[in-house]
Order: sequence, then C-alpha cells, then structure tokens
Amino acid sequence: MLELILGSPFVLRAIIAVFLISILSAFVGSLAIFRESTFLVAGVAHAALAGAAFGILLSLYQITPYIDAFTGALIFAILVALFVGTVTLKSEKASVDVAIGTAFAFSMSIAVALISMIKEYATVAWGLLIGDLLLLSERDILYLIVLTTIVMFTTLIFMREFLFVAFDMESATAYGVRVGFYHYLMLLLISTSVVVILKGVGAILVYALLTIPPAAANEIGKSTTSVIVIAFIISLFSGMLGLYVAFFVDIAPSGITGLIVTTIYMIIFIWKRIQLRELKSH
Amino acid sequence: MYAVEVNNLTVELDGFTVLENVSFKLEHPSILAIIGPNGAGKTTLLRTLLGIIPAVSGSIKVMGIPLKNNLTKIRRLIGYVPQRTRISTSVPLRVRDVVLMARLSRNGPFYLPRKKDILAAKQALEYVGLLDLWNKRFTHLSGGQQQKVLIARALAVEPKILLFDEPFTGLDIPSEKAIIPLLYTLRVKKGVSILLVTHDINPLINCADKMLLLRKRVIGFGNPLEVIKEDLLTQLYGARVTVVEKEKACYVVERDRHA
Repeated sequence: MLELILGSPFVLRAIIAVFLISILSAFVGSLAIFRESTFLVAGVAHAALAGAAFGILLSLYQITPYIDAFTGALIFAILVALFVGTVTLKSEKASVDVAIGTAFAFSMSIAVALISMIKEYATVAWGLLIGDLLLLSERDILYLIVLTTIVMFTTLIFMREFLFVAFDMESATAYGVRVGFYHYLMLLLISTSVVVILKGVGAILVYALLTIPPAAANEIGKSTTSVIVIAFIISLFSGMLGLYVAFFVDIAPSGITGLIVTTIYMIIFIWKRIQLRELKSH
Repeated sequence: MYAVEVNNLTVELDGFTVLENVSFKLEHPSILAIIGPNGAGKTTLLRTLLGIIPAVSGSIKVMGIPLKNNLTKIRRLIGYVPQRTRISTSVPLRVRDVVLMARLSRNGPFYLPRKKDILAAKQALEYVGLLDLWNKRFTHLSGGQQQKVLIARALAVEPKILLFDEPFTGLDIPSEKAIIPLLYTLRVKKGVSILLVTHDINPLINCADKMLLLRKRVIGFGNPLEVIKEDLLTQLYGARVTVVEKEKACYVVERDRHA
C-alpha cells in the first residue's frame, strides 16, 4: 500500500504540495486572518484566473515571450492586491469590501471574456478554478518550495511589525513603524501565495484551504505562535486525509480537504461557544 | 520648558479646514484635556502632533524641538494610547506582546528583546496593576484592563509626553475612576506630560492642569475653573450647557455624547 503511494510521482508531489500548502496556510493564512483580509484571498484568486487566461492568450499569439499562464496570474493577482491595499489604507472598512467586490467582479468578467477567446486552451484556465493536487508538475513543486521558503522567512523576520500593523495601524505609525511598507509586503505575500497554490487547490477552494485553518486556530490559540502551529496541524491533517480518501474514492482531494477543514472549523466554533457559555454561567 | 508649543496651526483634510490658527503652550509636566464636540479637530490635533497628518501652516514644538524635520526624534519622546475601539480583535496577542511591541518596533525588525526591555515592560504593567496578566490573551481582558495595557505599552517606551485619544470611550465608571488617578500619579511621580482628547469633561475637571476647548479654533485655554464657563461651553458645543458648582468643584450637566 505504502509502496503504491510512494511509487507514484503524482502522489509524492501531492504529498509534498500538501505539506508546503500547510506551511503557507499557517503563515500567510494567519496574516490574512490577523489583518482581517480574508476576502482578499478570494479576490486575488479570481484575479489570478483572469491573469492566467491573459497569459495563455499572449503566449498563444506569441505577443510577449515571457508571459505564460503563471506569470499572467501573478501579475493580475499583485495588481489586485495593490489596488485593494491602497483602498484599505485610505478608506473605511465598508469601502474596502466594495473595492474587493468590484475587483472580484472585474477580474471574473475579464476571465470569462478571455477564456472565451482561447477556446482550445480554455481547459487550462478553467482547471485553475477547480485545481488538482495530483496533476502538479515538478516545476509547480519547485515554485512552491521557493515561495514557501521566502514567505516563511519573510514572515518570521517581520512578524513583530506585521502584527503591530494588523493590531493597531495608527499606533504603529505613531511609534515610527513604516506602516505602508509592511502593509503592502503582507498583501504581496498573500497574493503570491494564492497564485502558487492555485493549480493545486483551485480558485474556488483556495479561500477555504488558506484561511479556514488559521481561522479555526485563532478560536483556540492563546498566542500568535500557537495559532500558527495549530493552523499548520489542521491544514496538514486535512490535506493528508483528503489525499488519502481521494486515493480510494474518485473525488478531487481539494474538495475533500475543503470539507474536512470547514467541518473542523465548525466543531471548534461550536465547542468554543459552549465553553464561553459555561464560563459565563459560572 | 514647554511640553508642547503650537503656533497658528492650520490643518486641512480632503480640502476642508479642520484646525484653524490653533495656538497654545503647555508647560512640562502637566495634564491637558482637549475637549470639544464631534468633528472639532481634537483627534486631528493629536495626529498632527504625531506627524501622521501634515500641517498646512503654523508650527509645533515638542519639548522645545521643532516637529518639522525631527519626526523620528520627537516620536521617541512620545507615548501614544489610541482609541481602544480602533484596535483589531483578530490578532491573538498576549498582554506581554502588546506591552513590548512599541518599545521593540522602535529598534527595527532585527532587534531582539533584551532583559532591559522585558524589565521595562514588566514595570509598566506593574505600574497599571496588571502584572499578573502578563501571559493572558489581550482580547480576553475587560475593556478597562485593555485600556490599562495600552497605557502600559505607552509607558514601556519611557515617554516624556503621553497622548491619549478618548481613553474613556466604552469604559464603565469603575474603570474610568481607576484610570484618572493613574494619569495624575504619572504626572506627579514620573514627570510625564499628558495630552488627552475627550468628549467627556467631568472626569477630568479635577485632574487636568489645563483645558483646551477646541472647535476648529481655540474657544478657550486655561485652568479648568477658568474655562468651564457656561458661555464658553455653549459656544463650544453650539447648545446651552449648564455648569453646577459644588464645594469648589464644578460639573457640566449636559454632556456631549458620542453616537
């Protein structure tokens, strides 16, 4: 059985991907939760879809040699993150939600329009909507390894500043922290992470897999470190279980993983509320 | 020595004049309560003192140092306590993390906490009476405790001047009563000047050395008993305000309330 799993390069790559995605979920997902920017993850994922279609279109007609589906997705994702980041710095919460919603609708409209223009390659772009952990190439894994390493070290180095900006932006400015720099750096980390894991988990489920483990962890964690560790454990457990089930049943692993993380979140949420009620009654 | 000197300060936000020709001098150390209705420019004044908002004209000196071109130097003299309601509840910080964050961030991202930093943070927390909450999660504390932890964060940077933005918002009366003596002892024992923005006049009448009545312009500046006058307060709030005097203390009966 173990030989069967480890003998397949597709499964091996999927296992490595789940491990790396769990690290990204723990670090970047936690940042998105702390910064209250989880909706940005969904917005960026759909912008990446439009970017991928744009990249395919450009490479199809050989307009630019360097832009393919991945770089197109990355460019669109970063542009949306910069747009949302600028609105977030300058506006109230309500306008930020509207801005992300507008960027979301705008990029999905572009995605639909562009995908209709690349008919024979449309499946590549639509594939990013659903994703498949078992179809990752060696290049995808390489991108994941490089990015996960960069994200992990950047987050660890700047964690104190990220937390200060997320916790109390005004005071961070007052105490001399370069708020704008850390704000955009956080968004850059979130958006590039979304793009790199998109092929594995898909635009629809990237939100669930990246942000729900840290959201669940934030319900029970007593410190930022414990939230990051618990998020990693939830993400890894759900991802591995999803892969294991998918190995026996013909269902996309990201779908099963999505169901597991949301169930874990609901259990933790209800358990926490019951605990709080008991505490109040004492 | 003046803690703060403001001369003919004018500030605009989105093309609207928020502060106009504001001037006052605050001796060091003293407690200044900045009062006025909503939209009077109170918070803008604090943000301008912190260099977050630029002035259109006029000048500011903090501890004799001009704000212009000396922002980093001045920010090292100031401790800031923001409105508690503006703080995110999504970050799982412990009390120790909150108290240390301002002090450590001043030294850049590569600075690791040293013994003297931990000691300063613990002393600050002990000063507000919450040392036993060192490892507790900040969001699990009551409103009053959170406010005190934010004060401890500001004290941990060992400031010469403390700026408070609406410290009593959302606090119950016992929490409010616990904070006022703290301000007083900070001024007396630590020689810290305190500038405090509030819409609630009464808690500070007996503790503030000076009051600044602000409504875009300075309506009044002086000792509480000099400026807590019905005519000035009526001019400040644009509605009739009654002042009751009892045992050499006065109380404002109709208070401005935040929505």
